[in-house]
Amino acid sequence: MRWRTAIVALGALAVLGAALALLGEPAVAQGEPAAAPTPTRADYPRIGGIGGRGVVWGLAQMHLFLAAFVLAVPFFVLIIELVGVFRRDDRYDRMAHEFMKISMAAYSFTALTGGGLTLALFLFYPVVMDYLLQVFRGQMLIYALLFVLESVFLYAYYYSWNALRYGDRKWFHLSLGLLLNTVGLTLMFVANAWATFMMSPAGVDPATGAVTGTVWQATQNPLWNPLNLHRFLANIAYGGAIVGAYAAYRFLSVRSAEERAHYDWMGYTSNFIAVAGFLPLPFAGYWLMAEIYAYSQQMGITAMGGVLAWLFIIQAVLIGTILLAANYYLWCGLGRSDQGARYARYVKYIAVVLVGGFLVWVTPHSLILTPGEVQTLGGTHHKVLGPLGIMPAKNTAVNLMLVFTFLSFQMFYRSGRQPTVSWAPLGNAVIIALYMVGIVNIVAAGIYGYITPTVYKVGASVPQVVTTLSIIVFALVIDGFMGRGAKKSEVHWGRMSVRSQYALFVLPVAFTWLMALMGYIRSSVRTHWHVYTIMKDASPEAYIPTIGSAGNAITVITLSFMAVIVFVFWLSQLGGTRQREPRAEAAE
Amino acid sequence: MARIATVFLFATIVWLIYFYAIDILIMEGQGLPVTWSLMPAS
Repeated sequence: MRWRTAIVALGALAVLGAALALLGEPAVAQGEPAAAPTPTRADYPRIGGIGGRGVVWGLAQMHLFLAAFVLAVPFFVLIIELVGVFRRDDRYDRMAHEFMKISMAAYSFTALTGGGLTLALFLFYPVVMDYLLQVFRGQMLIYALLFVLESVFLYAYYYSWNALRYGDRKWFHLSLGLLLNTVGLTLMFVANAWATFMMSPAGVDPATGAVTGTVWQATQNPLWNPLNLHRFLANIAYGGAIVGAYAAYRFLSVRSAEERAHYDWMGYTSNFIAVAGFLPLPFAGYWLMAEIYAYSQQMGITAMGGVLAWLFIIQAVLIGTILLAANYYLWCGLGRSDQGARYARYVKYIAVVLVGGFLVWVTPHSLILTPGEVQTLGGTHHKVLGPLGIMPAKNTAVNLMLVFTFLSFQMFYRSGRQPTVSWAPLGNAVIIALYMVGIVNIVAAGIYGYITPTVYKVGASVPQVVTTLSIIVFALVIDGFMGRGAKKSEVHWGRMSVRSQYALFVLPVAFTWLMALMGYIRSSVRTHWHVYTIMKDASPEAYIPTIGSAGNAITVITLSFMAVIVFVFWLSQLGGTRQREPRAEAAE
Repeated sequence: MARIATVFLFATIVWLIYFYAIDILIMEGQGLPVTWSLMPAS
């Protein structure tokens, strides 16, 4: 069996090697490189009176939702499968297999929307695509090849699950999963390069847009890695949220207590994955935004200081919703163990912090006011609430919300364990001190941000982030040592209220909306450029739509995706449904 | 109880030093001069 693993691995490496070799290919064979084309209005066909933007917007966003889901699921499935092997626990294996089943049903939709997007792009934006082909050349073919490999590995991984179940064969199966993830991540990184090239072009002459560099230089543009990290984490959070909704749907529809327990556990695991991917996400987003500012201050201001800034307020509402829903689910989960009631009394304090942080986060800085309102207010900023509109307040709020979300997790984790080590009370004192000092530091850094120049304001947000991460890491380490030999009390999986499951439905809806919103912002910061500062958009739609119409478009796309997901869930459970034999029915 | 209080106080001081140290290191790491004279007036 091992030689077969080796052959598959070598094959994959050969493909990746070929990809890298093509990346190094020189830009233009001979002569002076040609300048980037300048499209005119005639270069943008309208079909049946419909322009390209809406069609491409919808298809690209749908493809991104599905791709994010389909790429993320094998990632955590592989980890869950590995945990099952190490713990010698079949339950993990069954759950991992079931997660894969959901993503399999979504895979063909991913391919469909991807194909549709490609067609729409070439149809509506031929000149832009021609230029992008000049820049990325053979990489587009590599992408197609990687997509074929992705399909091969995905089907092989899923369908060989039970055939390669034990011993060495299990390791072969895990290797297949690893290859699937390698190809999947590479696919995403390649596509990210195209999107970020349009925002921060590299490997081309900045004045004319002539292709002067290699494909690798164009790929490695300034925003590539920040987007890679941000999408990687967001995909995990998103994938977790969607399979969580599937678990909730099954939890509500199954009858037997055993199945309810299984889907409750699956829902808990999904929520864990979603929150684990989500906690570091604001920091990756912060890095991406910082790199956007570093690349072009104008672009940064367009995103966060201009008309798009209002969308960040909606972002705050959605992220607040996600955090409240995830925490609510965790609080309900305290009822699963008999020890959970001990922690239930702290829930109200966490809720106060979350709601308070949420309110600070949604407080806008500049208000759109009528002259009468300005007069009543005595200015354009509110005297008391105005200061809460700027970044030091937002950063403080979001870090506190993350710390308290982690606290909810820690409470749930502890509710199933009774430490037996002699120093447990002292360990608790150290953890409480850690939280207290950490929170003081986050608040102090926020106040410091108010009384110092802007450069210090931005600088002070980094210690806040490190403080949040420090609290999480140290609390986990201390808890890990305290948990050694702990008396585990039984967790009654399935002992969950029905309404807690609705929190699991809120998560994917809010996540989908959020992704559509932020994806729109990321794409819109190019304003009237196809490729920022290189190729102007000459189409009639080269403007930023109003907040209202963008909001409507985003909402329609979100609803369409939800319809697809409902269909996918239905398909997934249909596979396990068997019609009763007519004779057996008649006999009853 | 006294023992727990002592450990709590000690831990508080250790965490204070830790977080203050990372504040200073990170700010300096970003090329922002961290000195006592930095506060409001400057």
